[in-house]
Amino acid sequence: MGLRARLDLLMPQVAKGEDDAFAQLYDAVAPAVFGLARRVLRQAEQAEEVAQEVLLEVWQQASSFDAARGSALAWIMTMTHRRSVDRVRSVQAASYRELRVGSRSQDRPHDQVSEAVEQHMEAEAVRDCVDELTAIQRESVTMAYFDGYTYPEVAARLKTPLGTIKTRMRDGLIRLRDCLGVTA
Amino acid sequence: MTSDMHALAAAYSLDALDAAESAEFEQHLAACDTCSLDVREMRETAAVLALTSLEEPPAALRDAVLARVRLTSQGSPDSDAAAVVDLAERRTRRGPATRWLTGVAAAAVLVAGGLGVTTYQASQRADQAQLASDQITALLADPEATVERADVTGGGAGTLVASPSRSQAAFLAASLPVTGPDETYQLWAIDDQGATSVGLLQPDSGQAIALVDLPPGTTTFGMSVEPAGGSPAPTTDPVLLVELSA
Ligand SMILES: [Zn+2]
Repeated sequence: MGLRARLDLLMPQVAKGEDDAFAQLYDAVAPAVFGLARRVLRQAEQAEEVAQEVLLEVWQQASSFDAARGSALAWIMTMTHRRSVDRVRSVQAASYRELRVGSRSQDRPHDQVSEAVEQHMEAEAVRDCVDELTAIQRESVTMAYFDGYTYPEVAARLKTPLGTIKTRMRDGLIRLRDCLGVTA
Repeated sequence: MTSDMHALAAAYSLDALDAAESAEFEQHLAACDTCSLDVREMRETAAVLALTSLEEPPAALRDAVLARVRLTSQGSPDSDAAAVVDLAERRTRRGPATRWLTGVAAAAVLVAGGLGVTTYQASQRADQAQLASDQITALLADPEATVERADVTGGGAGTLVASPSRSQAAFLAASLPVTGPDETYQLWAIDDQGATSVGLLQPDSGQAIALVDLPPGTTTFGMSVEPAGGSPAPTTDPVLLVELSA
């Protein structure tokens, strides 16, 4: 069973306050939450704080989660991304941003992210779809999602007109959506 | 303008709009079915993208989150969330040759988190349980708190979350072996003069959470298995030692 389906099955139990179900949900989704926060924030301590906030919010807000409006995975990852990006853009985080920019060359290569990923069949399928994108579509989407850049920042970094980035981001996501067979 | 707005759905879904543009788009979103559907689908897509960036978080995070979940109800404060054992009476005992309990002013409360253990029913105790629960929650949420994790000899692990001043700590234990009927886990604050008891731990299904006050000068936190009722000073080798970071 994929992660998306698994989380959707667990959510009703979590919403009833079953902490065993929450522990299962934690084990299933925490690597995605921590991994995304870490990609955006770079620093493990910051990522841990975001992951803790998000996972506790999942517990506390479980009963207000509405499956008709999307999957639990999308709900949780949207929260994770939003909080990570808010942090990275906050005034206090200015120094982190400098650090991030400075340390970009030390990034782990795209094709050897972690052992956990290698074990993850789903990740392979996703990566195949990412590889289908044109270079500029891929850069637009991943710089926004994994680096937390706004689209004007992406445009500046890629030295590409704003309108083009906006369009490529959209084309890229739509192509990914179709390749992955994602439906709302 | 409307078609310009439609074009922002992808950037919005990726949180790639600045605050002003994001607010503007949200106004449009509320009234546009096309964009609502786009944003939903694009968020599902982006979420799946995160699967290419999995990273196992530190084990201490799991302990901290699950401990807080046991203590935090999903709505109002939960009276079942914690049971308390007041150890004040134990703290008046003195051991030979050590500063066992001397100079420890504040009462320590021991909390078994969310385990349905109701040791005391009196409202005074319940208040204390709530207070301890609130203090633990605050401690775990304190970004300045230090988190140290160590394995327990014989099985299980413990995580110590110490306040910035090192005057208080939450001790979270998981998967502890069950002690014999005549035994108990005992917690110690250790300094250069010896060990001071800071409470007994009575895990339920191997899990326990304790809020402990650490005397000034404490350098190390420890746990040992002692005869039921506790010992004035440790009588066995520690099963866990955690050094407090300076
Ligand atoms: Zn629209």
